[in-house]
Amino acid sequence: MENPVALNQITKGTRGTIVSIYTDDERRLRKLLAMGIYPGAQIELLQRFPSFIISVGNTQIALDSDIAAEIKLIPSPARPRRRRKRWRISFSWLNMQ
Amino acid sequence: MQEFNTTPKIALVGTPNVGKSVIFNALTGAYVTVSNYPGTTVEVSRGKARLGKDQVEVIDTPGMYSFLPITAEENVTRQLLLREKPDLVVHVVDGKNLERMLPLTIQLREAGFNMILTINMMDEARHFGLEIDREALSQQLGIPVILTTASLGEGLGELRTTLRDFISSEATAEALVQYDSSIETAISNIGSLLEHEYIMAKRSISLLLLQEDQDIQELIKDKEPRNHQKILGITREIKASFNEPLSYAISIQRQKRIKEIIASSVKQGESRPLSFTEHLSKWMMQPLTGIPILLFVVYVGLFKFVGEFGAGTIVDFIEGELFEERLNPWIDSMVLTYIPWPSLQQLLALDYGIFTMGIRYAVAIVLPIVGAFFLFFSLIEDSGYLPRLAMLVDRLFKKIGLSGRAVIPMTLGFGCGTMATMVTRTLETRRERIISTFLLALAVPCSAQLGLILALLAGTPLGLAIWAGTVALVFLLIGYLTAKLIPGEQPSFYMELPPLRMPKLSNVLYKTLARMQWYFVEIVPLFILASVLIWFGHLTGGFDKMISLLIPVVNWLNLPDSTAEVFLFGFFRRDYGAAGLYDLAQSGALTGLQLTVTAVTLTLFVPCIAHFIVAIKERGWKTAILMVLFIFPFAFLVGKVLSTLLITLGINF
Repeated sequence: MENPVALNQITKGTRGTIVSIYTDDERRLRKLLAMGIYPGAQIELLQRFPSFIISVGNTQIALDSDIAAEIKLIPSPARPRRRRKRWRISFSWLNMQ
Repeated sequence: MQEFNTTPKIALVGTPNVGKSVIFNALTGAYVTVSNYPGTTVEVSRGKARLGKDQVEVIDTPGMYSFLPITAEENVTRQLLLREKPDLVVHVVDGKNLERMLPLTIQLREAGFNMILTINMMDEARHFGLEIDREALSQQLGIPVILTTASLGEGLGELRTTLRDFISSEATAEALVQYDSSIETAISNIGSLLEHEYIMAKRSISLLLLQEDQDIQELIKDKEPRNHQKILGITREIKASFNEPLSYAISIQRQKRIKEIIASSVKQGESRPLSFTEHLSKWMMQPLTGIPILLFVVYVGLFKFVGEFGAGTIVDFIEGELFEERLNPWIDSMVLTYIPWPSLQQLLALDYGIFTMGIRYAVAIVLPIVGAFFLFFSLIEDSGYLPRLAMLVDRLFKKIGLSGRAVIPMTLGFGCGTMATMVTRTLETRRERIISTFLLALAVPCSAQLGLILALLAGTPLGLAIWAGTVALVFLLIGYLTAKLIPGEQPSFYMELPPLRMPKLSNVLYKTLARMQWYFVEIVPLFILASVLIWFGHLTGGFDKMISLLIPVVNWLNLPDSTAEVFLFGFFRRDYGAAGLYDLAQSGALTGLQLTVTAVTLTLFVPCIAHFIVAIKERGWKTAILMVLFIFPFAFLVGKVLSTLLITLGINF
């Protein structure tokens, strides 16, 4: 098992399980809990800039970096990702003459 | 079928943005504003519905995340449930997010309401590959479960039948969750000390007391004079044995139980590939693609639709064809023929009359522009674009002391600053509310101004660019300085991003009309009042005196004498001033440079009377007056600086 890391320290596309939320603002904590951000929830970090976007269950939630720093999670081992076909620009025609 | 002595009540309860209002409308046939933005139902709506041969009252409540209230809205809902004791509580949830919706179901069950669970938005849930075994879920929760897609009318027939069948059922409380043994002991200890009969089950009261719910603490203090101290003692004791807040521990244990319930009743199928709207959503939120999309929305929505179509085509038609060509000459001749007194003639018609100027401005110039804006705003509101915009600008807004949440009042400010100032109420901190009220009054032009300014400056692209650049610069610079000056915490930002949806035309039209109606009721009396004031000013000579006082000021900005009248109109309504500018530009009295300087000064200038009144109401006299005292000289100062700068640089157009 890996060590917990803050949400603002992981890279985009990382999945993981939330282990704790550290905040001195109890209202904020309760709001996060109500939005489905609680220890044990599985999340994926979708975007880091300009705001953090995570998916929890089937919902996406935007957070600022201060809140992201308060959420700690254990990243799941990287799953082999389905390779997506990418457009590849070929320069081979340059040598064709 | 049982006979009812009084009309039975059904309360719709649930998190914001799950479709409560759609269900309410379907049941009652009434229309409540529905939008794809979390938290738009601030007031409680009531309506009558027919179930078979019985009539029932349906109550739509403000959004509630948890039975332990965090916001004022949640408190409203809980108090309503406790005071009105509805015969049936319908918990409406979002099918694709059951895991985070069920905590409230459990809390409501613990409290002991007679309830049913309506799992709505099933179309979206199926889209995510979710299969819900309603029988299993119903058994686990001990209440009926209905699956609906209210926006498409799916499942509503069954909902009605179930409402009819269960409305007179006995309310039962059920402990669906076994908490940690120390918490359970505390619950039963507190429970045995409670002597008063409450509406909520004792277990629920004990749980709320453990979580330090202030309202319930007050209630206990009042109802349990004998055991009050003992109860507080139990709470303190157990609190000391936990490292984290008890509310946190309790939610986590509840969540664990929900995981088990879901595991036995919901199947997650294969997730399907991203749909077009999900791709679009991604593009909207990444700066590289999101900013061009924003510019495109602003260009098409504000510039093309509100500016060219609303302020151009429609205004030309209503103003030019209808009023100037037909209505006004007719009214003038009628008044001149039948009313012998010149002063009364001037009150009703001619240059500054109630009909020929007041109503013409309101109906022919301002209303079409505002209407076009409200149509545009309702469209983007229902599509779900606003939360994405909020996340895109949050970082920038933090620099001016606001959070992304403030885009809602700010965007609405481009429609009507008065309405937007009212909406600043939804911002979380006082500091944010002050800063946004100030910036709305200073640097956000309302649609009437915006439409006219876009129409006026459309011929001089350079003027338009200078105007937009100056106003944007003032917005950011003054916002930045204000944020530095006003003490307080940085706001935080977290927001749910609902899926993008295709707006429903009927809903968009209804909302637009409702907003236009609000505007019309607010604006027409003020336009008439302004006409009367100007007429009175003319009659007594006070108006001319004020113009002559303003002439040196406008000359200081290198503007001709005739603009003094425009600024004076600006006192009465901001858009009124802009409309005056429109008349002046039509006559060709101003150069491009002068038009630009006037447009900038008028945009920054004091808000209209209605805006000012609402600012006083929302922020208090002191703050509102301070704002105006700053804005007034500042607007002219910026005009002076801009004018001098352009002339010195030799930019002339």
